[in-house]
Amino acid sequence: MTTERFRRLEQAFGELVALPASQRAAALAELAAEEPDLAAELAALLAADAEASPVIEATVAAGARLLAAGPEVGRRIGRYLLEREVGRGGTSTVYLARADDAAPVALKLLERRGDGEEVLRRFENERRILATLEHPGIARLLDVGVTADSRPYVVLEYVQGLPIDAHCDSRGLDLPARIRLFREVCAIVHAAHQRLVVHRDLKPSNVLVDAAGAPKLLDFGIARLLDDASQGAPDRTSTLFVALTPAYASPEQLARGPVTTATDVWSLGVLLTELLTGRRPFRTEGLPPAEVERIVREGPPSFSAASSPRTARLPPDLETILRMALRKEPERRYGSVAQLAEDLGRFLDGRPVAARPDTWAYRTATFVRRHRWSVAAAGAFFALLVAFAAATAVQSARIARERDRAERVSSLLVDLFEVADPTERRGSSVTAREILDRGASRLASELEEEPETRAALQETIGRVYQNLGLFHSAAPPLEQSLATRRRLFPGDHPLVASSLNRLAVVRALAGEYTRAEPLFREALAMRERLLPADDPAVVASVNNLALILHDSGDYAGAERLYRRAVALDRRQPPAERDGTAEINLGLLLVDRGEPAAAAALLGPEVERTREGEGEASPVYAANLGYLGMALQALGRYGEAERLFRRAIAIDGRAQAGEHVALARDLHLLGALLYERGDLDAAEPLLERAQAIRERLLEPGHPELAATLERRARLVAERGDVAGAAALAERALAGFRGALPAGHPSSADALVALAEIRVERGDCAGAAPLVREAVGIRADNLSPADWRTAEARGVLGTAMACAGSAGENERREGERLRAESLVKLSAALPPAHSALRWLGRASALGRTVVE
Amino acid sequence: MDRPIGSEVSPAPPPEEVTALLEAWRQGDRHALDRLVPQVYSELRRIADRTLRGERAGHTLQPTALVHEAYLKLTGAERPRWNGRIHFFAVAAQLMRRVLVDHARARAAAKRGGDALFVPFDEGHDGAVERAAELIALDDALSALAALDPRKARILELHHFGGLSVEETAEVLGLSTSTIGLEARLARAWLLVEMRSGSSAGRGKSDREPEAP
Repeated sequence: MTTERFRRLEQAFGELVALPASQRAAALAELAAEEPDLAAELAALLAADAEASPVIEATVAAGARLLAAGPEVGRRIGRYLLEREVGRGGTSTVYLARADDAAPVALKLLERRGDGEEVLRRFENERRILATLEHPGIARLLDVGVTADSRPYVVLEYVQGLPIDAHCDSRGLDLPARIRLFREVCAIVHAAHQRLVVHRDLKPSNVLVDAAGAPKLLDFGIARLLDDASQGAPDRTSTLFVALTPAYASPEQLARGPVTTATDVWSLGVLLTELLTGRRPFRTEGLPPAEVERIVREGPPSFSAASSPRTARLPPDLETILRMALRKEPERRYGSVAQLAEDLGRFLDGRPVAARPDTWAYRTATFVRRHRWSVAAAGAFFALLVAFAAATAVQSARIARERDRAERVSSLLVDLFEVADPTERRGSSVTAREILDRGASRLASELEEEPETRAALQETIGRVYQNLGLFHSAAPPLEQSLATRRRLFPGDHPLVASSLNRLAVVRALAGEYTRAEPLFREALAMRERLLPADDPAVVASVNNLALILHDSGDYAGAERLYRRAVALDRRQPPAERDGTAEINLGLLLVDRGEPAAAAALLGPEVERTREGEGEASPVYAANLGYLGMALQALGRYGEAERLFRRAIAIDGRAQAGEHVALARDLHLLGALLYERGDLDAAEPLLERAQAIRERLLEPGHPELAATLERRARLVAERGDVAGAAALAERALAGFRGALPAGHPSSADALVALAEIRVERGDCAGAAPLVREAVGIRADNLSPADWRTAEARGVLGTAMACAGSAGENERREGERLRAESLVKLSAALPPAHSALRWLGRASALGRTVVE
Repeated sequence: MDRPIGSEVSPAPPPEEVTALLEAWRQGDRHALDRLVPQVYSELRRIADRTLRGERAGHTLQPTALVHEAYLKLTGAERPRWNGRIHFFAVAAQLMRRVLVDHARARAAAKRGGDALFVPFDEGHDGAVERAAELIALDDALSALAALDPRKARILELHHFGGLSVEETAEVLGLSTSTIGLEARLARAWLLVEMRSGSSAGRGKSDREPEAP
């Protein structure tokens, strides 16, 4: 078109639009006859004019949007021409760029501006370090610079690949494959750590995987570089600073604290969680920065899967590994990325992992020790608080709900502890027991609207009662806790299993073995269904059930289970082993009359406890006692006595006032001294043990019965046969009531009572008792066991001195007695109580004639 | 390794210098514009980005607002140094057009395709090339118009890129409003027809051919 033409158009257009619309068509037609081309053009113009389309405005606006969306392509920065945008983050954009005709590079351009000179200076140091970081798994840093408008940029090796999460999904990798790939990533990160370079910004988009499946890490150390580069930026307005990707930032990064290799461990933990579950452990999408910071720094991680096909639950060991990597405190995480990779390797091999859950949780998977009480009475209510805090941490609830609940619960606790407030003039001193009692009774009716919390609190109170040795007080809150949890979680659930176990423990400690056993069985079955075979909770349940069988007299069944628990426990690394099953097996062996094997098992366990728990630990004291029992059975009285005395010293100090642990130790020493013949020393010990046990235990408790039985013998030997009889009757009644028929402990009481009856002249009455004892011991002990001989000796004596017995029976009795005497003399030291009695009885046997 | 930093680094120009550049450009110094564009570029982008983030869907972005803000930022001035706001916008309109179109050309030249590397974060990414083409077509059409009738092209530029009203345009160009109205009307229609016909052969400023790397 020429200018003249345009003028012509303009003129015609002006004329036409001046006409009324109705006349335009005619005028146009007229023109068309003369100048058809012009007319055509005019028609087009008129049509466009009539359309009044806003396309021009829209196009310009769209252009402005385009500008906002990504302005740099086509620009030249330094040597590099930006060809296209390949990625964009919160604070920077990445371009595919090329210098002249060279190979493509990735140029990452930061949004913020810095002060040019400053930036250069900082860059230089970092650049030098990073330029030396050469590794096939790391995208090399090629160049750094600052643009004309003071924006820093870095130039990296251009890597083609998918972000690791996209790669895993697109290849459909299963869990082990993902872990293996992740381990390769760990190896790369570790290599950089060894060169003292921390990544600081590990996330899926920085971990690419190429077509061959090899991972390559981007932006190593860049975060630090860019962070430094922006130090001089004039407008540092945002709280989340340059190089942080909030979703992957560690607590110390959010707190602007020092960044170490542990920071990368954290990020790798987040990354791995995402790879395995499809979600990040901390849900921060769409939340303001302050809230994100709070959730990451304070909230628990979550490992529930987004959706299938990934597994619904992570295997517990894997979760443990993740939790360790995601510990809030850097020093509590894996010490190095290599260790993380190692543990993952163990997991893949099916070996136990080194990571352990947090201690308090680990210990709540209760192992029952036969005589284990660990909390001093004075500290009971602090234990309540601490344990409560721990218990509630297990509950994952919404944040607001937690706040409300915490308030309600703390006001309950505050009320309780007003009682303990010394400024409250109450006159009487308050004991922990009172506080507990109040707590228990209030919980029975309060907090109904917070059933989970209530159940947790009740469990805690039950535990504290248990630790105080108040087993019967422990049962009601534990039963309520269990009932609540059964209601809340129908079917299998770890909390229900835990409640079952806890209640069973208390029942067992209370001596109610028959009530304890079904609970232990149920807890074990449930845990076996919920957890892998060597999970500590399962091992605990195996041990507990074994203990019940042990105490029920099913020694064979108990041994099988103990050995299973021991095998599982021994798979742990030494620092993590619990040793309870070993101890219990040792005790079983003592009961079974295999003290040598018992000592072999218990000796190392004692050492391990001493190292692990310390010489002032009640656990150590208990184990000393158990080893002492084995040594005593071996006849090594001196050593056993030393151990018992040491245990008494520890427990006497540790447990303020009188405690069942001390009673046990006193009993053991007293029994030893009695057996050895030192009645004067034994008597006060046994008396004190009895007093404590009477005060703290139920009348029919087997432990009390055991002391009564020992005292009965001692008292009888002193000559107070009537008194002895009473004690022995009580002992027998206690055993019979608490233990199943045929329990070996019953045999002890039966023998004792039979002996007393013989001494009283009631041989006929003694015989059936001791016959039962002989039968029990024959069932449970080896024929060579001295206790078998002891019982037969007593039987023989009873048979021989019974007036109603026939000649055959008398002779048989004599033979039995003589035979026993020989065996016992060979097996035992001369002053052994069994021999002493037989000697006494011989004299009696000669004089008593019915 | 050699560093290109030396050639790139210059601190942000002081406000006086920006104003001086603008003035020089107004006086006709085309090179002044070359030096101005990079500064304005990034500033405009930042502002646009921020504005977009706060924008509700469907709300159109006002180019003129961007320009105004960018100018203020760059010159550090509350008021432009020369005769009033109108003249500033007159200058800014041209600058704005230049910036937007340059950017569109660069985007259009960028080749898409290849392996998916990263997920693009801005939803404007798709269709960016198409939108860029539209703006380029607009620019080409405007240039074609300018070749035939510079005044009309200027009127459109002032209005669409500078946001000036009919009265303001009249003041800048020293014409009557009725003249402006009529000229604008034809210019619009002509532009529309030109854009749709797509015939810009030989007349557009297509100095950068899209090239397959």
